[in-house]
Amino acid sequence: MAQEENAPTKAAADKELIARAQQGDEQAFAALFELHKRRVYSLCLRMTGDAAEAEDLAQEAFLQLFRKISTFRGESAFSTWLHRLVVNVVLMHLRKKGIQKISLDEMDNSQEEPVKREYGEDDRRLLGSVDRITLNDAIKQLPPGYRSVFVLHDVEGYEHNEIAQIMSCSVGNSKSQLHKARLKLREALRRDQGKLARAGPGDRPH
Amino acid sequence: MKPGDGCLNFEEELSAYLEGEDRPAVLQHAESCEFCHCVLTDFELVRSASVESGLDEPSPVVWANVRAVLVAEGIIHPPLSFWQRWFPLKSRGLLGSPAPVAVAAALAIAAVVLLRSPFVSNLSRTHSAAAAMRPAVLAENYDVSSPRTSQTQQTIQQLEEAYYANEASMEPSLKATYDKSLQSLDDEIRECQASMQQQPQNTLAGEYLSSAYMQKAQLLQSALEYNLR
Repeated sequence: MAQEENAPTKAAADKELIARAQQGDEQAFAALFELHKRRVYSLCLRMTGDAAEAEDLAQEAFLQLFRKISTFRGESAFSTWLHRLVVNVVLMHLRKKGIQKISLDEMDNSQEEPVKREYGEDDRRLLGSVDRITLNDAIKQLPPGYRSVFVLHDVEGYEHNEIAQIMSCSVGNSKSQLHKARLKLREALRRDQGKLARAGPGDRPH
Repeated sequence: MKPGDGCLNFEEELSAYLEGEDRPAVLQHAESCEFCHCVLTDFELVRSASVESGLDEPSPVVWANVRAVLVAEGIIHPPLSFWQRWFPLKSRGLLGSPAPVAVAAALAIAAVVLLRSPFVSNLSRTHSAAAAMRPAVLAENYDVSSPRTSQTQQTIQQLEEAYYANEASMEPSLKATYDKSLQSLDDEIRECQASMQQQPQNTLAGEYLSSAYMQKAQLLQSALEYNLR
């Protein structure tokens, strides 16, 4: 999982709030929501690429969490428990939409996609800096399967064996999907940068 | 121009290198190949930008919806109001069983909310509209002869009317959540009323009915308070 600042402090805060929430304390629920809402919503947003959908899924995830909170015994970190729940909620939603009907193992029949090599001046130039909006736009353009693996691994810090379990695919497939996702992101970002290089100052592509 | 063997090997090893595996050939080749050096740097840049990409903030509606559902399901116990603090269980001896005390306390809260509501003056205008929109859930009651029951019904009806008077100004998704919870409570009220009609001495149904009224009052109060912000 991605490292969080002040993780032990947060874990202690979570523990106290959970105990109060288990007694039905509204302020404890509100505080837990406040502590975790951005992480939950951001994960939903990156995996779906749609703000309205992300809000619905975040809402559903918190409802499931709070309904089950009485069963939480502290065997694992609360944030880990919450995180897995959110991922499951999002993936269930994507499956219901029919986006991931085909398993990743079935999709990955081709050989590894090579890096595009069109030798010219532009191709030897580095990407330069990548701002958040541009990156999020590029992630949104990824196919859903690639997007899920990329977000889980590079953004959220899941390991491939965890992703394989969550997404019911092999570890090799997870690695392959991640590599393809990174290639596509790189291409998308270079295209955007190329447009920026040719366009004027007020002509930013969206 | 086709990539050389070094470039092909670089591409094969790149994924593993980015996973943290020891692949010295990747770095060695990147030092001598300008193109592959760019590729490696780009990939590392994308990865670091992803980790540092920051978090987004959901709208306040998300919490409002979550809270509304949790209150309706009885998972959240809202903090005691002024009236509930001043009329605790020890008053039971004066007012009979605890259920009417709780209902009376909740209705007292509702009365305070109504007095604060800028929409109270619209109640008479919206009365007929609200009545047409909702079934007469409170037509039947759990103790017809009790003046307290009549007061309970009247206050909850006023709360409902204030709620429907405000509905145009509510977020659609929030309203949908509240409506769903209210429908669920109305179903429960109807069921309890039916049980008590068949078995007037059914105290359990009476307690469930009191509880449903209290939850409905709290939910309507919550909706009105949220909308007044």
